[in-house]
Amino acid sequence: MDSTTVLLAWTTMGFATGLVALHKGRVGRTWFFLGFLLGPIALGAISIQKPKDEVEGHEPHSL
Amino acid sequence: MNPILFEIGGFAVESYLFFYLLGCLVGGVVFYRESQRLGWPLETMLFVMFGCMVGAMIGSVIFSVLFLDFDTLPQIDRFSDLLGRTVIGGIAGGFIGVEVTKKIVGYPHSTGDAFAVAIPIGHAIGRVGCFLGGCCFGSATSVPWAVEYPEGSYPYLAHVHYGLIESSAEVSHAVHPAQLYELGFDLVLFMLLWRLRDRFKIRGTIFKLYLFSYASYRFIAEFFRGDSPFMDVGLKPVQILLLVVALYYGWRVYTQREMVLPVSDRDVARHS
Repeated sequence: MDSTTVLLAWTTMGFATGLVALHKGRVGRTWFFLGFLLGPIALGAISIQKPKDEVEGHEPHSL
Repeated sequence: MNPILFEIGGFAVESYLFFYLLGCLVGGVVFYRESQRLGWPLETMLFVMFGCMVGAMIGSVIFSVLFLDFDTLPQIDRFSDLLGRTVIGGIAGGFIGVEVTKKIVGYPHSTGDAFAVAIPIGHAIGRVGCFLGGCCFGSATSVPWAVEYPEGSYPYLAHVHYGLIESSAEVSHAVHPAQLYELGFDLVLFMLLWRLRDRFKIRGTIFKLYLFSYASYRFIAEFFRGDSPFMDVGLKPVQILLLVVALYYGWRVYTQREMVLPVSDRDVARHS
């Protein structure tokens, strides 16, 4: 697997993560970077999150 | 010793790599669950996790070069095999990586308490891979539970180099199963920190307790490990570092030791 393929796969992962994040009321750009950096870890983390309007009582987000 | 755990379609899966990744996965899940339980911001925690991973990889390679005894393992392919296999470097690098990431994303609070319960459980799983792969091996011994490693393993090469065994020997000298000692310690430490994780008033104290506990254990454990040489003063270079870390964080925990009552005790106090 060459570096272009890896970069393409990770960028796709970033977009997928960003899209799921937008769907859940989160900041898409932030989650694109998280998906790009952490790959399936970020995608998994956002996938199991409830939409933001259902979450309450947590520490305010700093990003 | 079982360096190859299994094969899938002709692809050999190394025991070390398998348990290393499994340990990272379990540790990551524990960190995630713990940071969410504490209500910390998810996005920031994931950036912190990334900073920790990058820092740990860099720190591990740097410490490998500084502290492992590569003179005993003359083959260049073995040298590259062992690069990045020191957990002390991983913890130190991860610590720096987290602090740098927190500066970048502007998060001022301590995140160590979630790492404090995640690292020991991940570390314990990783030690299974070390035991099967033969790295992080113990010093030569004659205790009944000692283990021998086959020709070509890291302990075998080290023992041939030091003249403990002939190069025609079939197995290494018997050594302490140092990896299993550490596995046991990590599990006990995980359970202890898990029970104490809501007990300290000051955020970050559990992580300091982890650093103190692990550095203290590892200082002693180095006397039973055979993968790095002693200096003339009877200590290994890494033990000097561990002693400094243990003393510093022991003092920090002592000054932050004020605890809150556990929930069950608080209920009893309220009703009495």
